[in-house]
Amino acid sequence: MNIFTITQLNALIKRTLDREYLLKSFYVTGTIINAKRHSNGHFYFSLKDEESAIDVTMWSSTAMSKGLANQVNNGMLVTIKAGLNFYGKTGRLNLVVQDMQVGEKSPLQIEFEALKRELTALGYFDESHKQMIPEMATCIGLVTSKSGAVLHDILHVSGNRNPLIQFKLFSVPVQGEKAGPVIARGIYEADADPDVELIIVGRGGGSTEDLWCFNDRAVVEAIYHAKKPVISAVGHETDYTLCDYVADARGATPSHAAEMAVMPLVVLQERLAEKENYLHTYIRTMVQQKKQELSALFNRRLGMPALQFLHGQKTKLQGLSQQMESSSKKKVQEKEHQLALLAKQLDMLNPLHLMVKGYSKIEKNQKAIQSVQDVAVGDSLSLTVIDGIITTCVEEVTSDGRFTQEL
Amino acid sequence: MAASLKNYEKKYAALEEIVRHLDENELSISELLTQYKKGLTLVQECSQMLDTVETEIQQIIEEVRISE
Repeated sequence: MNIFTITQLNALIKRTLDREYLLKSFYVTGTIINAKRHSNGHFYFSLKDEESAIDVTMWSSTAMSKGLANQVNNGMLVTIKAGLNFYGKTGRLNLVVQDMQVGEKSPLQIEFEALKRELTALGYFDESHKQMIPEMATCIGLVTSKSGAVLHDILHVSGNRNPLIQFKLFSVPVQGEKAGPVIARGIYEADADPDVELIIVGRGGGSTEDLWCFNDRAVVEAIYHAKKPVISAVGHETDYTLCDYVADARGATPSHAAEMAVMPLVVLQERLAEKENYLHTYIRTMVQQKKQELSALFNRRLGMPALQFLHGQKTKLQGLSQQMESSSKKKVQEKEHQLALLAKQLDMLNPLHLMVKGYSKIEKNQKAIQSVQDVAVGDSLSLTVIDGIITTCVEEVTSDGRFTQEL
Repeated sequence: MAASLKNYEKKYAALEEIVRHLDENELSISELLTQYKKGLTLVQECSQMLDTVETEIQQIIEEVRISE
């Protein structure tokens, strides 16, 4: 008998299996269970019949090239073309899908699809019926098992994000044939509770049969009729139940549901700061704008008209001032004119003018001579002319009354 | 401002009266000088009042602009 190391043993098994031509490519039919899609795009599931099961891997490249990505669903009866692969490092054996055909559906799947069709027709899954998930629910109703990991996961995630959020547990069984109506009643109770603002319905991962109670019509109706928003968090990301379709939002996992329901306190604080900032800016802008409007209104309706009125007054005053100036000047000029006329008249009377023409003033003993009778021959007379006095002697006196008639 | 403007109207009316008097009546030269001097004083006072009011309005406009 041989003694092998694990490596030798696994190498031997691989060599033996690789030699078997029948296992290189073959067809096998079974129902998909435990389907998972890894983040790198590869699918992992098991294929089972009534008694046995085997692990199957479908590489993302195969899923893409054959268009199989949407067909890897739990409960689906499929026929795959596959090859056997033995992985020496872990000693695990699995089938690697080369192609896949959707075959007969399992009874559960048929039931599921019929109910889904009916409820879709009734509008249970309409987007328009869905409510917004409140960002700041302060009390969340949990409809789940009091012993499950879901409760722990949700409280843990929520506590990390915002320890102020409160939870109310509506404990229900989350698997078994009779669980559906009880879950439905839990949802109704949570919806009726005045403290609860948001409801999370959930359970952890499990087989299609385990999750089946979340396809119960009573559960779907309870969620549909709930007045409060409901987040569904049933099983893993690849598991879809009717509960997921009817809920207002679906968490891929219970932790994800908690993240959707509870906003981190830090984000809340940031938002509050943003709002405060916005308010400050808004108020400042508004006040500034109103001030500008008021100022413009003031200038247009008061400031400018006042200045215009004032300039009008100034012009009027200036006019009046000019009028007074010219009136006064005119009056003075009139007086000057009158004065000049008088002066001219006066000037006419000046005896010097007569002297220039040859007239002179005749005096005898400082007495003016007016008549021939005032003098006698031999009298000495003084004649005043323009530039001096002439003294003369009277030689003859003739009286003929020459101008007496004219005076 | 209202009080000074009211005063202004009075002075302005007095000035108008003087101008009318100068225009229409035969005045003695000494009366002419008296009236003219009176009128000139009124013109200066009125003008000063208007300047004061204008400065005040300009200040208010400026203040309104600054407080924006």
